[in-house]
Amino acid sequence: MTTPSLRNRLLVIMLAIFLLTWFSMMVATYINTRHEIEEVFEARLADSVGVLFDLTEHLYETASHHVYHEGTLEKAKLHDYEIKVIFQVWREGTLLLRSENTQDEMLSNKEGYSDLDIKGKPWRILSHTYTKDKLHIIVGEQYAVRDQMVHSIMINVFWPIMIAIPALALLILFGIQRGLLPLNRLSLDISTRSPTQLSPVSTDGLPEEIVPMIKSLNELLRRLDYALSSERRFTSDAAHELRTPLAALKAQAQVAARSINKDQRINAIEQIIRSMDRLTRLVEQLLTLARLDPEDATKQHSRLDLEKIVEAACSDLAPDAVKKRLQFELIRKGECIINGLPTALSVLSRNLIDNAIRYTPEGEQITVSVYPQDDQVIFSVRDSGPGIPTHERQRIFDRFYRILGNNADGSGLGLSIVKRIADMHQASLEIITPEDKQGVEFQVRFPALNKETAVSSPATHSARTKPALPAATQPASYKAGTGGR
Amino acid sequence: MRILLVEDDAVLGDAVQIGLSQEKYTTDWVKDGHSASLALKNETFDLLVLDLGLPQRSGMDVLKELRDAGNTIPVLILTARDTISDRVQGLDTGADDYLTKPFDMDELVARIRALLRRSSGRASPVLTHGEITLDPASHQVTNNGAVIELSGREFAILQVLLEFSGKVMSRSRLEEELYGWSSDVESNTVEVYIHHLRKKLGSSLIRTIRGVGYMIDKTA
Repeated sequence: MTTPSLRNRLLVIMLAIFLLTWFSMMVATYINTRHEIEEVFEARLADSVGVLFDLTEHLYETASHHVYHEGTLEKAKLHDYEIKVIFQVWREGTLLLRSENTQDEMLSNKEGYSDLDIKGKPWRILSHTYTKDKLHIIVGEQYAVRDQMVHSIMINVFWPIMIAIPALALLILFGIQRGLLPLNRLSLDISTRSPTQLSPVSTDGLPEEIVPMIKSLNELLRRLDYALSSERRFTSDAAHELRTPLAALKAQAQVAARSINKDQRINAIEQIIRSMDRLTRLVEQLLTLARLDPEDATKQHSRLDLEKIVEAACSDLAPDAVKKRLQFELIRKGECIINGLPTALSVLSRNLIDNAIRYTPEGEQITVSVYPQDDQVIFSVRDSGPGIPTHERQRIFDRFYRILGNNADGSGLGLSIVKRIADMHQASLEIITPEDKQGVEFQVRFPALNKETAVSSPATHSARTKPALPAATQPASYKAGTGGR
Repeated sequence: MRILLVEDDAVLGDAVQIGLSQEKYTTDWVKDGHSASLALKNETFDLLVLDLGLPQRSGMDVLKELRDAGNTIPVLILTARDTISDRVQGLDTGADDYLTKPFDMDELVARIRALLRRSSGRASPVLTHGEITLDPASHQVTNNGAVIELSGREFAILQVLLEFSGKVMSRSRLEEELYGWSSDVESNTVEVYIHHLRKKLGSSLIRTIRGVGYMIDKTA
C-alpha cells in the first residue's frame, strides 16, 4: 500500500465535487430546455391551426377534397428544424384538406392536444373545431423534432465542459501544489535537521491548520530535549563523580609506591582499599539507577506485602547496625498490601535503612516502622542522629548531593534512587523532624491496596519520554542496591 | 616551600598531602572553601592547590576573592571538571595552571615546581647562587661542583632563602615553611638549621639581620 497523498486526495475530492455540480446543472438545464421547447412548439402548433383556419375559411366552398402538396416544401429543406407536420381540415365529417403525408381517416376527434402513434413514431396532435364555420382542423407534428433540438442544445452545453475537465484538473493540481507549499517547506526544515537539533520548529508563515500539529511536535521535541539533556547531564555527573575516587586511588598508590616509611605505606594501602569500596558502591548505585527506568516503563506492578520486604531488608542490614553499636528496632503492625515492584521496593527500603546506619553516630537509635494508616501504607526510618538542616533537605534527593561535614563514603545517589522509586509507586517521600527534635525521620507513604481489589496495571503517572526497552533487555537483578556489604 | 591544599575528598587530600611531603614540601590541607579563604587571608603560602567543587564556597569564589585582594600566589587548580570552557574559565579567573583528575603525582609535583620557579622569576629549574646550585627536582645541592649532603629541613630552608634571595625571611616565616600547621615545632630549630647550612656551605652565604631574620644576597 502506498502512502496516501494529500495532493491526490484533494484533487479527487475537488474533481468529484465539480463533476457532481456539473452533472446536476446538466440535468437542470435539460429539464428547463425541454420545457421551454415544449412550450414553443405547442404554441407553434396552435399558430399552425390558426393559419390553416384562415386559409381554408375562404377555400372550403370550392375544394371538396383537396390534397395539400407539402412535398415540395419538405424537399426544399429550408432549415434543419423545419417542422415535420401533418394536417387535416374537416367540415361536418368531410375531409376538405389534408397534407400529403397523412391518411384520409380522421387523426383524432379529441379536442385539444393529444399524443398519437403513427407508423411507430410519436406525434403531437392539436385538434380544434371552429363551431361557427363548422371547420375541424387537426395539425400534427413529430416529437422527433423537439427531441433533436433538445439534444443539440445539450450537446452544445456538454462538450465545452468535457474538454475543459483535463485543463481544470491541471489547474486544481497547480492550486493544490501552491497551497501545500508551506507543508513542503516544513518537511524540508524537519528533514534537514541533525538528530541532535531539537530546537522548536518555527511556526512563522505556517497556515493556521498546521500550527497545532507543529505545536504538538514542538512539545514532543521539548520533552525529548529535556530527557536527552538530563541523560547527558547524568552521564557527565556520573563520570565526574568517578574521577575524584579514581584520582585518590592513583595518588594513594603512588604515595605507597614511593614511601620508605612503613606506617605511611600501610596507611596509603588502607586508603586504597577504602577508595575501591567507595568506587564499587558508586558503580553499583549507578547501575541501580540506570536499571530503574526501563523497569518502570514495562514491568507490571504486582500486589505485595511491604512488611515482608522491609523485614527482609532489616534482617540483612541489622548486623551492620549492631557492628556500629546502634540500637536497631523494627516496628510492624500487620500486613501492608500495596501495588508495586518488589525488587525496586527492596532497593528503596535497603537504601533508607543503610543510609540511617551510615550517617547515625555510634550508640544512637534507629527505628524502622511499617504500618497501614487509613488508605495508606507508611514506611518510615527514623534515627536519633544529628538530623538534617532544613536548607539541605531540598537538595538531599538530588543526584550526587552529599551533606557537608560527614565522613561517610556515600555515593550521593542513594536518596535520589529512593526518590525515583517512590515516584514510580506514586508514593510521597518526606523528611520529618521527630517530635523530640532528635535526629531525622524519612517517611514514605504508599497508596494502600484494598485486600479485595484486583491488581491493576500501574497508572502512567509521569510523562515518560524515555522509550521502553524490550522486555528481553531487562536487567534481572537488583542486587546492586545498597552496596556490597 | 609551603603549599595550601584545598580538597574536600578525604582520601585524595590525604594522598596529595603525603605525596607533597615526600617531595619536601610543607603542605597544609583544608577541606572547604571557607577555611581556604580564611587561611589565605591570615597566613603566607608559596602555592595554592585548589579543587573547584568545594562545600560552602566554590573554588572559583575562593580564587576570585584571592585575586581581587591582589594576592599573586601561584594557583594550581586540581579538579574533575575537564571541559575546555571549565579550563578557560579557571585560567581566566586567575589560576596559573589547571590539572584534571585523575592525575599523576609526578606531574602534579613537576607542575608545582614549575609554578614556584616562575613565581620567583627564574627560567632555569635549578637555583644558583655563585658556586652553589640547588635542584628542586632531584633535591641535590652542589658547591663548586661537589654534592653537598643536606637534611630535608636544611634543604627546605636553603631553597626558601634562595627562592627569595635579596629578601629577608623572618624566623617565623621560615618556621611556617618548615612545619605548616603541624604541632611538633621545636624552638630554636631554625637557628640550628642555619648553623648547619653555614657549616656545610660557608659562613658568608647566609646573612643574619638582627631582630628580623635571615637572607641570601641577590647575585648581580
